[in-house]
Amino acid sequence: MNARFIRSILGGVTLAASGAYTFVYLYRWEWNRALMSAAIFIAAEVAVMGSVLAERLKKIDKRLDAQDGGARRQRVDRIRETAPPARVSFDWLARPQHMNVFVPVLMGAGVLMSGLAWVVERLARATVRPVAERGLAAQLDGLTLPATGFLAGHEEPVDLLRGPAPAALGAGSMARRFP
Amino acid sequence: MKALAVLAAAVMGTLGIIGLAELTQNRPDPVEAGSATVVTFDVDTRDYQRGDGAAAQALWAVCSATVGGEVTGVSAPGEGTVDAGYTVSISPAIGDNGRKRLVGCLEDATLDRVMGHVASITTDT
Repeated sequence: MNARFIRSILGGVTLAASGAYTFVYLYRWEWNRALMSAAIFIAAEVAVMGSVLAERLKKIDKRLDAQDGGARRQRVDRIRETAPPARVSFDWLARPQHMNVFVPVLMGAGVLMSGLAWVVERLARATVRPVAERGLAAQLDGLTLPATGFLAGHEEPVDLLRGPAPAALGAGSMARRFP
Repeated sequence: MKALAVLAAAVMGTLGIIGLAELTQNRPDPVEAGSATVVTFDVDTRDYQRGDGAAAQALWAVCSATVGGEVTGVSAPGEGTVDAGYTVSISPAIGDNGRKRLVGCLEDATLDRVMGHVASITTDT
């Protein structure tokens, strides 16, 4: 006795009883009970119909799978037969016994990279210091003091209150900022 | 064969509908002056807050509208009587159709938490 059989029995009994009692209650003028019995009948009908439709769909699904299984296997076989041979880009990598070629390749690459780094370091050491010193001297040029001093060119001491000496104006960048 | 089955189903359906209409149809009953019908009924309640007496009165207030004539109020069950039920009287007496309507209303789920049960219906001519 499987679940489907029990489900069918329960659905059939519920349908029959609720449908019969709907009319019995109508005959007895018991409208509320008749309405409730009719509601139960409709619910059981929907459940039974859903179960029947689900069973039918399951059967159709199985039938379609059985029909489509042979054709699908045939298509897969045809695709596998007509597939091009697999391309091997690195043939020597396809053989596992030749994997030890990586060790000398990596060692050689390391030596080459070390030599290149040594050359770059030497070249930078030889060239960067003179250029950097010249650039720094050019930047410090603006901070030099006037060669004749700040007091040169003033005839009277009162002239100092009017501004920097004319000789000092052309001495450096700091002095050139004043009018 | 199929047409015969369809015809049989149609005939059965028609007869069923006609029979049900005949059984549930409402008709006026003949009125006999000076007669009276006494209805004794009981109530079962579940968590009804006002007690059985109030439930019987409420049920009768609803169901007395299904019959014509003069109706009395609900009489409480007398002590020591055989039928320990609530009694109402209808005059003139009700007929078969009125009896169906009244019993159907009293024993239907008319009120929430109240279930009526008709014990006896007697007609005095």
